[in-house]
Amino acid sequence: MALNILVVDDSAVMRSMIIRTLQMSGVELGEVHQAANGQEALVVLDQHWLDLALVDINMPVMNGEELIECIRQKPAIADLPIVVISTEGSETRIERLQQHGAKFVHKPFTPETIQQIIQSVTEVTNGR
Amino acid sequence: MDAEWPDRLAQVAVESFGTLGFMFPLDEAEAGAAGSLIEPITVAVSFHGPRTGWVTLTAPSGLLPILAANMTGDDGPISAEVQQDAFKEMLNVICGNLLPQLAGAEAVFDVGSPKIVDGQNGLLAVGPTATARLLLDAGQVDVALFLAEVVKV
Ligand SMILES: [Mg+2]
Repeated sequence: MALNILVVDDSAVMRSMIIRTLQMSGVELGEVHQAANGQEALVVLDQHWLDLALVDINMPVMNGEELIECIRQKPAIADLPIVVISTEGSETRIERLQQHGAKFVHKPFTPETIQQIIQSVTEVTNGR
Repeated sequence: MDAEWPDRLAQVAVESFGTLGFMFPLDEAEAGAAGSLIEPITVAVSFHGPRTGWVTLTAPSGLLPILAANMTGDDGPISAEVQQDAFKEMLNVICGNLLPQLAGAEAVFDVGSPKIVDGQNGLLAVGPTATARLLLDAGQVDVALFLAEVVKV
């Protein structure tokens, strides 16, 4: 089953890096949506059914942490699998994100790291 | 500020440029010929938390299209906007990886959005707390850490 994904990052270069890594990972991709901040992401999530969101933390307008809190409070999308891809180094903040059920990938990442985490997330998704 | 800071700056920057930008340090023999900042461009990012300050990255402008091409995998012409985006994101990653070393892994920082700055800007007149120079295959890169004074009561 092809995965519909949303990539949320304020850097367009980082979004295309992540998408390229996903394309090379062998994961079958369906629709690929992009958003430059949390607010844009919520608009996309309102309009499309998505299987997975890859979310940056440090973004203007609405950051990733605020976005994830928002998602978890909306019944229609509360269960959306989320992978945070961020430079965030604070264990305090990372733990807070993990309590919201998000997985964490640290920037700079290697393609292998992204591929492994997507595989682990999609196994869960396919099995549900 | 302890004497290890220039090494830490260099280490984080080398790791970030290598993993994300596919740019690697020259060995000593090659580095002799490199090392100049033609048409330098500087980007700065501020951080606030247990320590406050900013990190800057300076490179010859000719490095930016190579970095952007390496990061995006695009062979075609790359707009100035995308080139700067790539350079800013590189600084973001460097800054994010330095912060835990400044105040420990538990500390929470708020990091601003990277901005292109004029080298003559007042921001840079303060003088850096630590600097590091990388001689990469794509050109010279300077990284600097500026820390606001901690007022002891
Ligand atoms: Mg960001």
